[in-house]
Amino acid sequence: MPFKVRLDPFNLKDPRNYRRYLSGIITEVLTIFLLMGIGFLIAWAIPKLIS
Amino acid sequence: MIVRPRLSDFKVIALYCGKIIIGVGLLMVVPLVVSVLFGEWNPAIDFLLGIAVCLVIGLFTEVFCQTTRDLTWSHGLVVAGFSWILATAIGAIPHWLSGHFGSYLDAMFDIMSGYTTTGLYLLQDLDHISNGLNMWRHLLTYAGGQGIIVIALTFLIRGTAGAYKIYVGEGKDERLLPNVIQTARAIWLISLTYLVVGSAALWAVGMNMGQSPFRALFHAVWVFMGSWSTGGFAPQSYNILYYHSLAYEIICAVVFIVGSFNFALHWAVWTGKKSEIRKNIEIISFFITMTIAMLLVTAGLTKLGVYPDIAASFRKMFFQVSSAHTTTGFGTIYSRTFVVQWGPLAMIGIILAMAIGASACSTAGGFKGIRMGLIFQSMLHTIRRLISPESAYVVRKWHHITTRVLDDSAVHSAMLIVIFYILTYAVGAIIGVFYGYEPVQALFDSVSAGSNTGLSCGVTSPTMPAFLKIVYIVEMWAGRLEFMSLFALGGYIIALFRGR
Repeated sequence: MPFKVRLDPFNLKDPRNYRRYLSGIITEVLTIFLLMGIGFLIAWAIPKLIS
Repeated sequence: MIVRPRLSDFKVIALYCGKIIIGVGLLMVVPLVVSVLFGEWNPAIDFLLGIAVCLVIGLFTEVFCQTTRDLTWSHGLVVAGFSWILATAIGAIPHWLSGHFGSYLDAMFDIMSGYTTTGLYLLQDLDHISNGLNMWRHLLTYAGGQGIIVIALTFLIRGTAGAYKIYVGEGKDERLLPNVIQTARAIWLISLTYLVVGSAALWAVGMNMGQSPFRALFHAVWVFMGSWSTGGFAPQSYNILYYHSLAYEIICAVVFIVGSFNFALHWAVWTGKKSEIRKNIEIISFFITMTIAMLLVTAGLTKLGVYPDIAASFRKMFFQVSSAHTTTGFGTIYSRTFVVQWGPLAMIGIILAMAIGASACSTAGGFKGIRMGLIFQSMLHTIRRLISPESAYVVRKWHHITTRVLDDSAVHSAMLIVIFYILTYAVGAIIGVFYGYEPVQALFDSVSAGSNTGLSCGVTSPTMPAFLKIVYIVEMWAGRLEFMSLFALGGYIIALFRGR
């Protein structure tokens, strides 16, 4: 059975690392957009609740 | 019995402090090059003098403090604490020589604010300072965000045995990788990748706004450095409001929120563990407390009818709250707007956000999400224990990179640090009130300094009392190093006089 070779995360010559970095950045940015969505919901709902 | 430090102890401490000071000197080469590129000869001479002082001190310690002894834990903590003071005193030389500061204390205030990624400043006439000085301000926050120790670990300190002890002393107690030097490199890899991506995005927006390519590039790099390090320094006195650009604000918000995440979390997500981001205690805690702060601020703004529509309210509220919660200190409103328009409820929301702060082992300050999460988990655990049968053995788990069982010692140390932060905030606020500032305003700026945020409602200015400036410098320093190094340094001084 072939064994899985661990990727060296510091090896900048390996293009798979760039894919992983980009994927990580997209995950983090999407999380922040989720937070922005919550913020917008609050800015929309609170004036309706208070008035 | 307290043991009095010996000459060999001082030699070890001086040797490592010297290495860190050489690191500060090497950092000054960057603004020196920028000054030369722009033909700013006076600032260039200021930086040359600064570099010379750093090298003289560093080489002196290399020659006269050579020792075979490695660092102990107390040495590491003392080095971390003392090197920040030394680096502040020496880093202030180019600032002071620039002529933009009323006193050397003001220059030191700005340097400490830069290193600790606070963002409060006493510099005068910010809109007309040299490019070299602007580069130095922003480089300070960028380097301070990674930790000046991390810089030294990466480039100057090769032995790993003692290196980890100074690294912990700087308030970053997590190893992303088994080797501390590799950890420092991983931190740099993440930071430099974001530097390229974030600066490119800001550069594109800047040029689209009509800035010349060169000016847009410098502004992009500086604003990125201020955002990523959750520092809050900006090249213009109107801060991010200067740009009047929604795209610029969104990119800044994304960068400073990402910058406030734990480096261990970045590393986990970047190396394939994406589910970490929804399970991590710090992210869950950040989402909950950020929502509470947004609710408070929106309620305050709505009650006073500050903004005419939802879009304007969301834009101002989200930017200010996220800037406060990540302890960045960027603003899209004037300082006094907090007092004259936003009112006490919104200000309390901002104070709460600043006090809590973001993640541990990141560039952010405050109590940190992990401690809030642990304390909240402990409360739930206590309730669960109370309602369970006496014979039941209740176990509560929490997740940060790995799943762990909640134990009393972790909760105890989290509570202890939170108490120290609250005391620091309170002392600064009381001294502010003593000097005649309104209690909410004094608390606002004190929390801002202690949590390394940098938002101000007008208390921090060159005309504020000198003693209050010193108090804020100590608050910034203590808050950044999370008290441990401060106590170690204090203990060392006591041992010097009372030890045997």
